[in-house]
Amino acid sequence: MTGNKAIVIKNLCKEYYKKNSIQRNIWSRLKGNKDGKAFYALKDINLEINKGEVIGIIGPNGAGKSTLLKILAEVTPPTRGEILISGKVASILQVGIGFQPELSGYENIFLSGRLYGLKKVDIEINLPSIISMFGFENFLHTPVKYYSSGMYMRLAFALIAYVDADIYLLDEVLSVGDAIFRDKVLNIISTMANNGKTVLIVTHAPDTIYSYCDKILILNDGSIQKFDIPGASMQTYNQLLHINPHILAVKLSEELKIEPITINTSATNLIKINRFNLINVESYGDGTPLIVITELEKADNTNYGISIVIKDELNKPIAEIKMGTITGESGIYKIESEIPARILNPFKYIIDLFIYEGDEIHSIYPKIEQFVIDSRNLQNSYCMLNLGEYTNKIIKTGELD
Amino acid sequence: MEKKIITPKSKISIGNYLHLIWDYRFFSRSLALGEIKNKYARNVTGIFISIIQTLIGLAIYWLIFGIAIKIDTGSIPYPVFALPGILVWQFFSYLVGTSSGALIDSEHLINKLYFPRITLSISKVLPGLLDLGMGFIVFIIIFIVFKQTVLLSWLYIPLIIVVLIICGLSIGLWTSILSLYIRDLSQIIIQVTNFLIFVTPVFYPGTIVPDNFRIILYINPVAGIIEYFRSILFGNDLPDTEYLLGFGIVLILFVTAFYVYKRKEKQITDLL
Repeated sequence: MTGNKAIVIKNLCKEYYKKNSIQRNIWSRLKGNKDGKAFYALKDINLEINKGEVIGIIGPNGAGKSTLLKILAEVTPPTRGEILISGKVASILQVGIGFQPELSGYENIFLSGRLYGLKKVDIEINLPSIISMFGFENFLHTPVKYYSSGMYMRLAFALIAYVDADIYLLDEVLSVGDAIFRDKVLNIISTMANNGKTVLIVTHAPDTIYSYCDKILILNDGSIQKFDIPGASMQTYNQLLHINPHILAVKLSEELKIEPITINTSATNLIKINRFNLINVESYGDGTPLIVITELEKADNTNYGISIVIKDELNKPIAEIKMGTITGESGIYKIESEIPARILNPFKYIIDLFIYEGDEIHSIYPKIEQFVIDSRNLQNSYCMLNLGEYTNKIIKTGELD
Repeated sequence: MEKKIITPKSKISIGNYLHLIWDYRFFSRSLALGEIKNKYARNVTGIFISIIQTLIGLAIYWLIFGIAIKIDTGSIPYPVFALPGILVWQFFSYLVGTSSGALIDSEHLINKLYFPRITLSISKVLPGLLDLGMGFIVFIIIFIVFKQTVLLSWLYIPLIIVVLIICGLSIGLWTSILSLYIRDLSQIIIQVTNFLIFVTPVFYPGTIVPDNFRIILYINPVAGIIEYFRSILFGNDLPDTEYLLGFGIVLILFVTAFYVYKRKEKQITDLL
């Protein structure tokens, strides 16, 4: 029955005791910490993971993601419940953990490799490839404590690529290193997936692994919120982030202090944004466009171009919308423009406002506004940027025979 | 296909546990190597610092107990007499001192990595043995300088070393696990060992202790080790059989410490 299951979790609970340390005497310490207040890091988790599935595990901080992985990696025991694992497990709860700072890179390859469950002969066979992937052959016999953090990471990952197991447990491996490094990690993950390995990966950046995952598990407050195909799970995840009052409050009540950064210092400083408003944010999910209202005053006759750049939470630009050029003489102007419906996914966005003078940037209002698109009413769940219908022309080009 | 069941209390047999520790010997070895390199690699004097320390210690004790107080050590010159005791004590206090904090100091590893936790303490044996070995070379040199003769009974030395390792580990393992409950234990232990050296026949022969106080030596396993060590080295009469009492205590402590580790192995992460 469990033939094609890699991991079966039954009624898993993990209980911790809050320690109110100092007053307690030695005897009660020895008896155990049962007098503290108990809380559940994981509550009644039931889960079946098939062989060869890539599972993304996401959820807010403190949801129990890492605890789940730690239990699977046998670092800490469950309080109740049972887990059946079939296959060899390689757990990478932290990149480069187990490296001995005093030992050389070469010695650490063997140490770390064995900790990941590799046999000595396997490491010897793969040694040339590991070293070439590491790329700093000259430093191979230097103690790793003298390595830069980049070298350290590269060594760690050169190894992970050669770890041979059936089940991989990866915790937050994407949060370290730069973009190139992340790409490498994703490459390794996709290779694992293609080789039919089971991969469990905890991440805070679901966007990056989304396309590699067969399913996404959402944990919240120690329970499973959703375990489904990525599209369905992501929708729940976005809702979760919004419903959670802390996250919502912090993100939306943030006071934005808008001070323009003047790029072209030789230009006259005669234009000023007075107000910037977004209308219809709440109903965007229902299919209405976003209305952007900008009020500005200018005191000369120069032509200024106004445009906004929509960025995601990580400050990555997604789209620029040109709102128009203010010609004409000095005065107060109001621009009303719209962001078409259904092009933005349910996420958090930041808007920068740019003022151009001719082709050159005059000044920038960074983070002039930020908003969250609610997914509760979005029908097409987690969609990609959907530009199709606004730009396509359909022309009949011939007749059927 | 490997199959595994994780339950709240993973029951592992003693045989499997020993096997597991044996499988992770590469890890213990790497930890030990790291510790040795940490201790010596950056010193100008390198490994010789431990010899220098031993010699300075020996000179001081010789001055106080050998020349000033004139402790009677029979036909054996005082430095030759005292050095084995000092070496044994150094090894013991090193092993107890370092392994009692072993779990707490390696919190980052324990939290992220699976390995038999007992290896953290076991890995302290090798660095200790290295110091002991260097010290023993010094001993042989002094032994020759004072024109003593090597005896066949020296063949028993490895046995003494094994007992010494068990003795140090049993105390070290117990304190390491107890220090999870009582955080200041490793500090307390260091103070206690500093005091215990005086109720151990390191600077003096056990025979000068009055009979009615000798029980303190009998229950002290290190005292027995030193007494037997000396009788092997110098061919003296065997010490009182009551010293075996200390060995019995150590053996019980060792076996129970091992069991406690086996039982608590998984919970250690949560106790940190």
